[in-house]
Amino acid sequence: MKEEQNNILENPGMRENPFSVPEGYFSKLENDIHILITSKKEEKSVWKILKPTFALAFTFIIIYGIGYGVISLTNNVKTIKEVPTDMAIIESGYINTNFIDYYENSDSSLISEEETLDEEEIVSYLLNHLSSTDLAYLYASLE
Amino acid sequence: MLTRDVSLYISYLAKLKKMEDTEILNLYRAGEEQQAFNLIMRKYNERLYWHIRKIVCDHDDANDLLQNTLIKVWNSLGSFREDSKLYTWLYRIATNEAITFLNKKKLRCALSMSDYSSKLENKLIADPYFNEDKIKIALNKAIAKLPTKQGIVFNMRYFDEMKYEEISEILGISVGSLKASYHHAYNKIKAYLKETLDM
Repeated sequence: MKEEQNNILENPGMRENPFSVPEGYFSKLENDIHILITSKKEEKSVWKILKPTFALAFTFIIIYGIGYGVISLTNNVKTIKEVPTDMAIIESGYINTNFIDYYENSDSSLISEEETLDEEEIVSYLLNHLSSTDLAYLYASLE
Repeated sequence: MLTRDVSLYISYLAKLKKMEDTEILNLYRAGEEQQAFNLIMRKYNERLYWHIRKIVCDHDDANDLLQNTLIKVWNSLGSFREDSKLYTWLYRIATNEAITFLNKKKLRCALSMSDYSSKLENKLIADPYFNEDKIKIALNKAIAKLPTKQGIVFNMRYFDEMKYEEISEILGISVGSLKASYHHAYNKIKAYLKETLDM
């Protein structure tokens, strides 16, 4: 009995709500919710308008991607299959050569500054590789 | 004339509040979505607010959570299939919102090595919308010390005097477990108050 009397949880007023709200809170709340819902609706409607446009653009991108992939794949296969000769290798070398390669291999860089051509080497090269008629023609042109 | 209009409006509101949930849902299905939602708000927003407020204590937090709850209700009212009562469904959404919020808050406190119930005590003392009372502060502090779900069971049974069957439907816990949970919570709080208030 004494235990029951000492039980503070059973005191009168203990179950009463200790909290309160700002004045007019609940009527304002309804308004706030309406504003929130309307803004969400507007967001949704903007998305509804833009959705087909995005879908169309996305489809084009996918189709373009697939097309590009297929074309580049089939092109590679053709080159390898159709020209499996030395010429193909040379040609692919030309294809893979870009401006920078030409620039780096230009005349100025073919012979380095340290390398000089010996006159005797030139003469012996010409004697070995040219016929007598060619040599005569060359001599005449130099004269 | 004005008095007559006011009294008519009040009786209209009273009639709306008395509207059965099934009638409101029928209204929603008939295409009167906004009106049906307004009726739900008018009928339940206060009850849902107090339910959330007793769990989180702070007015601003309760306000945010209630707004989230009502927006979720608006978004998913169309998919409500009446497997449970409307008010059970509403309470479940509100409770889940509050539990998620409270668990996050408790985790944050644990990570910062601080005590959630002590923080709550300071908040209650500073809260202008709390009727400052030493016993009530101690009571809320004791509830905050309980595991989240146990605290909610205690609130629903002790303050709202809800039936175990109703609480069971909302929380998805068996009546037997609820009784045990409430009993544990009640005894823990009683002991805490006895110790704190030196009675």
